[in-house]
Amino acid sequence: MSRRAAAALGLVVVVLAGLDGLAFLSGAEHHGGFWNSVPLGDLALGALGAGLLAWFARRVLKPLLSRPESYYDGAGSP
Amino acid sequence: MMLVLLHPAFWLFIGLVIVFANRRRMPGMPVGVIVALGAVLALMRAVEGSLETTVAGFRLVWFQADRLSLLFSLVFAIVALLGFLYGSHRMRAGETAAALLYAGSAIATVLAGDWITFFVFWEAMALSSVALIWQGGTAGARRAGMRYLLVHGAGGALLFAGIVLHLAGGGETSLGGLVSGSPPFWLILGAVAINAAIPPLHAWLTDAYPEASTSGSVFLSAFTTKTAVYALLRLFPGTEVLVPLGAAMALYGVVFAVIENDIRRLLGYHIVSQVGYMVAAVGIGTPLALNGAASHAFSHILYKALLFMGAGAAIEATGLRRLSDLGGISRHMRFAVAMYAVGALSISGAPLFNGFISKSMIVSAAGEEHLLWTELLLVLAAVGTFLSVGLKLPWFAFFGERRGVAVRPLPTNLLAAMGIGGALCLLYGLFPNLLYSRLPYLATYAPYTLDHVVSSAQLLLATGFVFYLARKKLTPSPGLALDTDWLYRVPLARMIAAATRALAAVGPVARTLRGETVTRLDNAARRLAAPGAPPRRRASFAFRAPIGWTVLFAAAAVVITWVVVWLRNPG
Repeated sequence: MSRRAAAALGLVVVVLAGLDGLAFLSGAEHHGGFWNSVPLGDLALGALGAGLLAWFARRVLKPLLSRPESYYDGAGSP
Repeated sequence: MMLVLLHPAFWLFIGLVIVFANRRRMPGMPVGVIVALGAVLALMRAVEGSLETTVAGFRLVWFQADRLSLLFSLVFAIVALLGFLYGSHRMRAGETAAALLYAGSAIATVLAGDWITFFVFWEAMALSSVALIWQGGTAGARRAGMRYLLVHGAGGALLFAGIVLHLAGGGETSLGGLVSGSPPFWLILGAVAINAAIPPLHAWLTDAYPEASTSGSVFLSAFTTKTAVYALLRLFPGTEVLVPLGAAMALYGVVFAVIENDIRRLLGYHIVSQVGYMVAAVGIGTPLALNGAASHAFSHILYKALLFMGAGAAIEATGLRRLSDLGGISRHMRFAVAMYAVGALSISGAPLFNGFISKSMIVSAAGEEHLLWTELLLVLAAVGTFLSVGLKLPWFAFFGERRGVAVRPLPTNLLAAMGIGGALCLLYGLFPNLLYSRLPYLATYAPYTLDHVVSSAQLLLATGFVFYLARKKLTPSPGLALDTDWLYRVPLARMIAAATRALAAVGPVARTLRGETVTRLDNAARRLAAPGAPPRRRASFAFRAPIGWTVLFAAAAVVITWVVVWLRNPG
């Protein structure tokens, strides 16, 4: 990641954290799970969730279920 | 006659007759566009009410309009119009006829007010969707259509058995009135679960939808699963078992989508995932959740059609359908990519797009009912949706490494349909009350709160960041991923093949069965299991054999049902 992209990302995170804090301080009603009431909780959940899904799909599911395109050709042959 | 003209599906059925009568003289597509527009206009003016007639002693309520059925039938008509416009440069009379019957049957199903009308159009929808898959015109489309027919034949048998038991048990002919936990309840729920593609009964969808033509996929993405969602809303609201099923379904689809290489199969897994939200919402059963399911079905039909149009645009332009073959084509089809992005942001629940105003309603409903795990799974599914539909697919198909793929210009009608679809996704996202004012249940919801918007933005940003870091590891590779269709494509097919060989080996039975019949069954089993395998002899009959099985299953279910009914009420 370039330095400029990292800076832009940092800026967006700061803005989101500020808005999160604003929502928290304004007493806005938080819907649902605990991650909604923790500042930047959704950001953490998103990163964790995306990382977990990508890891599970690539490292567990793909080795287990992946087959060649021609897998079903002749699969039912006596 | 006036009463008949009031039925919106009538427009599409008239179109079907016109297309069929003039199949050699005129292209079907302008007829499709005109009659779908007629259905949209009819539905925009439709009011609540019902029309019925009595046939052979049965009271048939063939038009029952309330807020729920009007909402579904309106969006069905809109997507039919978009589908016909999208495909108007290539659809032949046969495909147009199948699409007209499919769309008309879907509208007639959600407007049906009695079990018999509901069943007739439900099955017409199944048969016409098979015809639409076959119009894909490839050997893969024909075989996937056969497997689709087999699964939906079993679903139809379940529905029929459930309806017969319900009526024989003294139930009303009017739609509804199922006793929770009774045999008809479970049979009909099973049939609806097949059409809703609830895992493990979902593989027909990801198997067949990618095999249809590009315009056929647009129609297929809209009707079958959403008619099932309508049936769940109408017949099974508050059925608790649907909550975990729906939440698991939402996650199941996105996990498989992450490893999928075929762009339309990837989108098919996201139909499974998004319908999971609706199924969970129906199970939650509060007015907010049920409105969430209805509005998410409405939104989903629009953005999913747009996504399939985007995937179809890539296929039309390049002739390629796998992510591992595509890449670097965005500068040749900027408008189509922009409209795909609208669909991707909509399905990901990004603020300002229509998915946000409906998906957040379901997640909030789960939160209000303190269903923590359900809410968590739905949020993770939203993350996975953005990861694969919003980032992986466009990155590897449209951007990413240039592979020197030749790109043909896209026809204007295709781009126009995508433009209208994208505009509708934005319109409903920006002005949610356009949709909320049509919802069937009494519940208020405000999507654009600071909390909701910041939450959603954080989830999307974090997902984007993870994709940026892991994009090389997510590079798609050729191959397929086994799913539950493996069960009937390999072990079941082998069992049938083994059984036919065993039958052929014994005495007089062998003489009867040996020869052509055995070959036919054997070929049918081979075709079910092995799409590429040549038949032993007389391919044409082997191709037809699964129809026979389907009829056999249906007939067996009918006979068993009647026996059960007779045993319960011998008099």
